[in-house]
Amino acid sequence: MTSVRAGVTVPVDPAAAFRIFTDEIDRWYVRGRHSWVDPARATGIRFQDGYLRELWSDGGHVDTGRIIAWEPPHRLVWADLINPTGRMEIEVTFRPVEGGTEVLLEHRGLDTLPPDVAGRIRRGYSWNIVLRWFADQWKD
Amino acid sequence: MNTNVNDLDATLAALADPTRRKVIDLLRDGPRPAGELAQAVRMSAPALSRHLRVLRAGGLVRAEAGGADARLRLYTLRQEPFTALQAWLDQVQAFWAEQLGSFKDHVERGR
Repeated sequence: MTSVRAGVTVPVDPAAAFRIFTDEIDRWYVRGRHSWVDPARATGIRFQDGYLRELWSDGGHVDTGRIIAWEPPHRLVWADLINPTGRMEIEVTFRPVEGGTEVLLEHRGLDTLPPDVAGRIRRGYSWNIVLRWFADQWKD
Repeated sequence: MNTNVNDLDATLAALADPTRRKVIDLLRDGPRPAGELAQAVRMSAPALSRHLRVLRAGGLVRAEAGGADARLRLYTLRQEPFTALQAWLDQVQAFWAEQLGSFKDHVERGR
């Protein structure tokens, strides 16, 4: 599974970090060009009824993720619904560290996207094989 | 020349064979004619040409025609199959790094 990872440390305990991440996602989520399914109508984002949901100005919404693990204060996983042909998951873990909580996010299954989404990615193969091998090739 | 470098099946197939990996290894030092590659991997030119065809189809190498003699064709490594993928992964990573950075700012503002 090809994945990318990102992480930050925040100065609150894991329970607070989990709560702020989920309850207040609408207040921190960056509104960029690629952050919304429908940027023209999008008014907010929310974890609601077992889904990660994009809310629209006309009262409608689109579910962008299906929550598959909700384990406060440690772990949260949702399956991506934006690209239904892919099998992507986003996992967020909250771990107590000196001075607060380490929040690690892993976006998995990028290799399951169809080519129109990701140029050179094909479903059903692990790009990791190629990636690792190539990476070794160009190491000096 | 098959220009369909998006064909992951072909890319993976190209990398699955030790002779072809050796060829790619050799090309890291710069372009080489087919004849030299055949010598280096201790294979006849016709036997290697089959492997070179697979590498071309996978988009991993490109060949510049060297006249009528196929052995003089100059082979060069293409990094695109890898760099395109890596560039895309970098974009996804940057997206999440920005979101988490914003999350951190939000937490710190609220204290």
